[in-house]
Amino acid sequence: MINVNVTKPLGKITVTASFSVADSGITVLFGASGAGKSSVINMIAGLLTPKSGHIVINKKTLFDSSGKINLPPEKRGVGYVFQDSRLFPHLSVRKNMLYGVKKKEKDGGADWEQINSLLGLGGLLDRYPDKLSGGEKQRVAIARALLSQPDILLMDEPMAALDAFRRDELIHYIAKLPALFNIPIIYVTHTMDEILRLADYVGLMSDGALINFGPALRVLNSNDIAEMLPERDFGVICEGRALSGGENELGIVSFGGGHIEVATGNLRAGGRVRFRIPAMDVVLSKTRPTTVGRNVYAGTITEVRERDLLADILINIDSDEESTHLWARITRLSFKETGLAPGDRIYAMVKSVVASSQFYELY
Amino acid sequence: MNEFFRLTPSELEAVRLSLLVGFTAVTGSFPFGIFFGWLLARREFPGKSALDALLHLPLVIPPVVTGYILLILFGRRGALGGFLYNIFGFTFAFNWKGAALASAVIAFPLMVRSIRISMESVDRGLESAARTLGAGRVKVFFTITIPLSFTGILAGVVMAFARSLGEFGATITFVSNIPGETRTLPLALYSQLQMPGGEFGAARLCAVALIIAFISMILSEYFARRNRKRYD
Repeated sequence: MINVNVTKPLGKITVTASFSVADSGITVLFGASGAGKSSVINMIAGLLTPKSGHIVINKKTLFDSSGKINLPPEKRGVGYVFQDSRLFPHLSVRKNMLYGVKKKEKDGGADWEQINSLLGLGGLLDRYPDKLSGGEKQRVAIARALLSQPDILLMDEPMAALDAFRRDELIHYIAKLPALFNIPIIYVTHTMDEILRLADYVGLMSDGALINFGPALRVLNSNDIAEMLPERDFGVICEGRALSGGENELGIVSFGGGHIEVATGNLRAGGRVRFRIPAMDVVLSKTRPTTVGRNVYAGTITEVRERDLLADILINIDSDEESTHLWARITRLSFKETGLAPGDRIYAMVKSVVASSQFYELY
Repeated sequence: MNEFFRLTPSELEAVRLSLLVGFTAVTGSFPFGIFFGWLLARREFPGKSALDALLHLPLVIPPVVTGYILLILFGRRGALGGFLYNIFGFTFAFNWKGAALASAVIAFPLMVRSIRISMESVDRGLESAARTLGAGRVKVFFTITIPLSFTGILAGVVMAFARSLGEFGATITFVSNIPGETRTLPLALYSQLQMPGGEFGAARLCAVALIIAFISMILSEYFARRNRKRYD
């Protein structure tokens, strides 16, 4: 259980954040650089003192301005993985990992083997940090934080210094942590990719304020985040379950709107997937299309937003299950010509190849 | 040539005394050096720049003035010296311990400066990382700050030692020039020069002083370099 409510003036902005999370999933704080994301987790870690508010993790009060409680960082039971890993350069990997282990269990305790094999650190134990790659450093940093048996894990853009390949590798490790260690994670990032793949909850930060907080899908499909994203990324984010998939096989995923086929191999049948359908890649038709393309959805136009040269059209897909939406972006000119209006019936098409570019398996 | 390096007993005594004084001065002032180095590197408090200036004073005022102040404070009838003598029967006046005190005071700014710089160069991020791993301030200091600035601290210590060996003005003012007690290498050199025909002995002591100082500076520079290189 995480319950945070803090205020801290910092230079030109005032960081304010108030949120609570009941279970042990990954909470992602998302926002531009300087929006105050890192300040929030620094306050939770005790590296920055809020002006007022309270911080409670698993019924343990770490900070309370009214009760004059302010535990020092070492008493908070907080694991912190920094962007720059911050391994101790004078200690071997093994000693780095053991640094936070309580005296009684010099061998690293019960978790040692599990953490070691999960993060693949066996061959690195006797090396020194300057002989590790960026990805290896972060894996050691994660192991070191976990071995201190924290009540919560804080991660501040842990992949910012890594190249795309290493990111891909590390994200798999991180995604597995909550389930394996039953630990809540607060993860700071400004990369959309990482949110899609990791977030159970999302908090949006802008100019110091937490402007939206809630379950990932709800926040990721809110208007607040649309304004924070590059134009190209605007669209709808859905979750579903893989029905099939594998080498050289189209993946089929069932979601609220029916089925979607994606040109990606390697989906585990039964696995949870999350994907984005960019509004620019949705094609509309007034009649059931007969062109090539298998992801066709019938629905009703519920909203139209016109601005500048573009029109964004929200379509409610016919479905027996929960309501599912798609955004389609067309030019204002073609919108005018077709004479479409809210309430009209419409067919939306998504190319399989397009959909597959932002398709992520969840753990 | 061999004759040249064969020191007379009194010269040998001066070298031995210099090393003892230097060693004692550095050992005695080391804990204070660590404390003030850390204080200046890691804490903010009112009067910090005043303290910094005060600690650097011995570097810029004439050593004779330092010696005179020590004489007033630690002489047997001095404010602190009288107290030490009456309560503990201990005195710095006119013995080698006084010479060590004079050397320690003179060399202290160099030691503090070097310790401070090497501690400032330790990434504070590493210290906060250690705190989040459950280490209190004291553990962080001994397991992170000290080891990461160790070679820099060592450089400061060696530098202070070298400076102690060269101490002259404060020593002769505070504890005089007593053979076998306070006559360190520079004082012995000075005494030789005062004697007719003492040039040869003076030249020998010069050579010894040069060699010790040179080795110390090389060591100090070596440690300082290693500190910079190791963890950058």
